[in-house]
Amino acid sequence: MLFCTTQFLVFFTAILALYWLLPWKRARVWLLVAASVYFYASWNKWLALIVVVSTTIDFVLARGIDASTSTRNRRILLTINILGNLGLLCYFKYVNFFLDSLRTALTYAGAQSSLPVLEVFLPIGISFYTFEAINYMVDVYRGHTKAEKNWANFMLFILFFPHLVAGPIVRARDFLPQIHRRKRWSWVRVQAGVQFIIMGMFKKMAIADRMALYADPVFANADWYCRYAVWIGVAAYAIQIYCDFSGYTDMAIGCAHLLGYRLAMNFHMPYLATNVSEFWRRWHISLSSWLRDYLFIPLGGSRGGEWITARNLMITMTLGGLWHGAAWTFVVWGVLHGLYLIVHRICRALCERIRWLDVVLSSRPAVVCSWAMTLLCVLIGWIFFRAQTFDAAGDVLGKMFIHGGGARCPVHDMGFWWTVALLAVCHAIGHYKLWPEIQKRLPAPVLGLGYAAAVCVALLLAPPAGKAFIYFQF
Amino acid sequence: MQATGQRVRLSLLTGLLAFLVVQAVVAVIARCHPWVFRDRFHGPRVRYYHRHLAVQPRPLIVVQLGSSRTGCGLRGKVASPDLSGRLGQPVLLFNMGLAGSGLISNRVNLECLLNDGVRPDLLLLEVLPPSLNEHWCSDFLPERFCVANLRREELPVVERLAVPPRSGLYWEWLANLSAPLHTHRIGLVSSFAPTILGHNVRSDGYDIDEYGWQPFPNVTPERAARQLQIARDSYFNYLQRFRMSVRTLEIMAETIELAKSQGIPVALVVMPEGPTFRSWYPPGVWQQIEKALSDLAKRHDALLINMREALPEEDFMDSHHLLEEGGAKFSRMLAGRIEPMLRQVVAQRERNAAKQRPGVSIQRSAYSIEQPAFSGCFGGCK
Repeated sequence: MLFCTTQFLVFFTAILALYWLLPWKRARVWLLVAASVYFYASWNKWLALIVVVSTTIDFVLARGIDASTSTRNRRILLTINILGNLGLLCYFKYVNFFLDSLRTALTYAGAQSSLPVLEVFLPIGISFYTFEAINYMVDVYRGHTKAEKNWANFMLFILFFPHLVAGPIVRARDFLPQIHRRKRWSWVRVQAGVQFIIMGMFKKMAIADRMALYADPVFANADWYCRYAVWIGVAAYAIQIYCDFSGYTDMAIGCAHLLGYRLAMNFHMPYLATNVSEFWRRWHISLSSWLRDYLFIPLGGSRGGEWITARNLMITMTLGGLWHGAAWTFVVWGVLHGLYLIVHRICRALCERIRWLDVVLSSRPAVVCSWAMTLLCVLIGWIFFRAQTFDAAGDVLGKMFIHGGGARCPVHDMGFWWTVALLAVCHAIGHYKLWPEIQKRLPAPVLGLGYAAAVCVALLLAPPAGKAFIYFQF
Repeated sequence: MQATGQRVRLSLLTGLLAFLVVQAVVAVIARCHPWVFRDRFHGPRVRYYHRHLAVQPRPLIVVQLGSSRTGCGLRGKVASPDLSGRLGQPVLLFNMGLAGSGLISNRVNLECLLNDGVRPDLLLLEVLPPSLNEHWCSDFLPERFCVANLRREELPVVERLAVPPRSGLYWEWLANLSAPLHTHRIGLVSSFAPTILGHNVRSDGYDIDEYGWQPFPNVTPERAARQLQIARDSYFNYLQRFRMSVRTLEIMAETIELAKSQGIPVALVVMPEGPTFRSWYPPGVWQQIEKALSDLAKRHDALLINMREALPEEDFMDSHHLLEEGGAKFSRMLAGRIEPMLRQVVAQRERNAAKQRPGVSIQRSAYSIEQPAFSGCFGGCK
């Protein structure tokens, strides 16, 4: 069930009505658990069973860790849990990737191989809920949070349907206390929820799916198009993936608000970042903070000197790239960002040592240049992220920087530039925090007409065939 | 806090009402001008057709319903002035060639055209010979018969004839009705900002002329070679295992009878095929098809116009879609073939008009042409 479908609208309206009609807290929790299982099962009943079973095992193991006083036993239980969750993730997501890579390596080495090709169905959202389970177990192990004693509460934490299939990756210490809090109907919260949902819908339907019309043909066959069209295609993909993913997250946050829950922000205008480190503090915040807290820091973080830090950054970003998809192009994307971060650290260290350099680079023109450089680096990274093969990525890069001629944009480019203008205005409103003031000053009916206009435009501009959310495949 | 709650309620209520009003307005527009929301082949053609009707006096109208063969083949702009000159009155030769159509979808397309107010004086039904094959199943494109493009009364026909079978169309149609703005968005955006849509999506008819002709753009030798290969891949295997489909013949008969029940005489037209395409028919298959069409035409009082061998290979892009010059030649030849039928239509009309002079009351028959309509032409005019 995609968020932007009539099916989900009917489902959510029914759940929302029932939820607020039920006066008992426990009943509401059970209702949400049932709704979440149903939501997941609408994709595949058997995979829903796998999620429920694996979540139950995590629940039991966490109780075991909490109850055990022996460090050795606690470590064993934690290891079992991490290996189990990673094993599940590796099997469903990476087994064919590993087999295929092994097959290719053996072929290059001149050896024969008869490795099987397994027909494995990728459970939707597996990358997200396995990470949530791992972060919960580690927090319980470290004593940052107590193990949840109620099975239904824990199920709700993992399976809560707004964030189940594409995040944000929720921390137990942020979510579990909310389950215990009494929920009261709040019109302010309703307004926030509705605004998030409308914004998410607009980003997904009116912007992301429309940008795909520029990006898909270019990435399918970059050789056909001229340099301008390829640049537009790449930039359109950057807009597409941002609006697609942040649009989904906004709808998830909005739905959660309407149910009385608060999910953390996952995006904070990442394309305004003036360096790659800042980009990762603004893009997919829940994943980048997860990688920092549960991978980078346990590896040693930045405590072991420059070389160790660089190694840790590279491992973290490479695995972060692999998390996104079972393909070497994703790995290269991760490696690129690892390199960007390393270069940024070196530059920052230089600035700390050379004062005048710091002063120059802090000036407005230099900040604008940094922003442009960061955007260019991110765009180049997206080429590998989006391309199906290295050849395709090479074609796109070649067309962008070397060869020139070819066909014009697959769709009239005015649509692209209008979208850029709209996003610039919205980013300006966000950056200068103007929205609360605008909302306060606008008469209520005008605000309402604005909501209606945004929904109508989103419905109107949705392309013929709706696309699934990009991050569903991760 | 109370004031905030009131503000929020007011804004949400206003938004909801405004949204519902917009939906209602779009639903009314769709009801009044449904052809705006038909697919991109059908909708623009019906719009152009109605523009022609607005011109006085009303011309004699001939509509050819068929596939992309008709779409890129029939050039009304070339043939209509000729016919008008010969008959001494305005004649409109209109192209309703809808890409991807076949003999089964012709039935549904005719229903849709009649519902959109298309009432020709003569209907030419293209016969796509390979689609008479029992194994042929790509006649019914899901995107062509997307529920959003259909009226409620057209649903039973689509449900009955669809291959593969489609059920529950009514509920799907109802669901689309609940969000008319989303359902009809392509038609709406095509009306005021078509350039933001992709070329293969926009339904403003930018690639169709005012007579419904839709040529293939940018035909280069490389493209033609590619299209010929596509044609071979699409048709050759089907023709090798050809078996006459009784069901398709029955549906063709139904199509003819539907037109006749509306008082519209019908002629079956076999479009030109190049020598290369003709060579893909195994021995005896074309004869089988020709006999079946001949028998069908006789049984249902329709004329069969066989122009299969009318044009040489160089007039085609891919041996079955005509190029511009080939289309012009075909259109002039077709005009010559239908001229006798049109004279009979004119004569019948004059007789009917004479009977309707004041003081004389007549019983109108559903079929305005007296039987037999085109005597002497059964078995095919070559």
